[in-house]
Amino acid sequence: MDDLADRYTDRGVTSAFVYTREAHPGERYGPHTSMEVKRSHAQAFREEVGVRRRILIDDLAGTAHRAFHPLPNLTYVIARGGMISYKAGWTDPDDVARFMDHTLDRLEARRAGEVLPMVTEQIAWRRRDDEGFRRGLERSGPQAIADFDG
Amino acid sequence: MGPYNFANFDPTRDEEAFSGFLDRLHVGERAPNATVEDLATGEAAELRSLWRRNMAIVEFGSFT
Repeated sequence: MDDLADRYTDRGVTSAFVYTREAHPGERYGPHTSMEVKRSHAQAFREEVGVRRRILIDDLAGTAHRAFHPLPNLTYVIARGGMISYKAGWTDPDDVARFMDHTLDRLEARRAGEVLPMVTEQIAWRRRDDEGFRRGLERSGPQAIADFDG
Repeated sequence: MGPYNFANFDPTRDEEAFSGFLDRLHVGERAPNATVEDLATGEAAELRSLWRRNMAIVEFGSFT
């Protein structure tokens, strides 16, 4: 998603990552008991993953996260002024890129009066990344693995 | 749904959440605002500032 952010910055698009609760808490990255803990997790996320986007930390109660939806890895695209133009219950960079390329091209065409807006709703398909997911559980700790595996 | 900062992952919690995702905040609606904290500066920021003048891609997530 950082590569996507870089790709669209020159086209006037702002990107940010909102840091929420831990989806798979474990011994190393447990539930947030204070903002200090949450900040330290967000800092580790930025450094170890190499996130280049602006990271915005939600409050301890998850006010921003819950206002959108409490799923663990959402992405929204919001038009200038605040209208939601894309929502995804899971973040898939390929899907976001498809939407952004199409939308930015059509917005240019709209300025020329060539297109009109419409609304769609669809099921999308994301690639599996089981190895990456397991690495995330291992990073969090044995408890995260045990909770997920049941 | 239990407390927001849960101590253990529970798959039934996500199943409940997924089932309600399409019912909330539809495309075409106004995005909610909230006050958050900028990790780089430690200062408070308003989410709406992201989309006040530009289109914005906003991802929600965590390390785990």
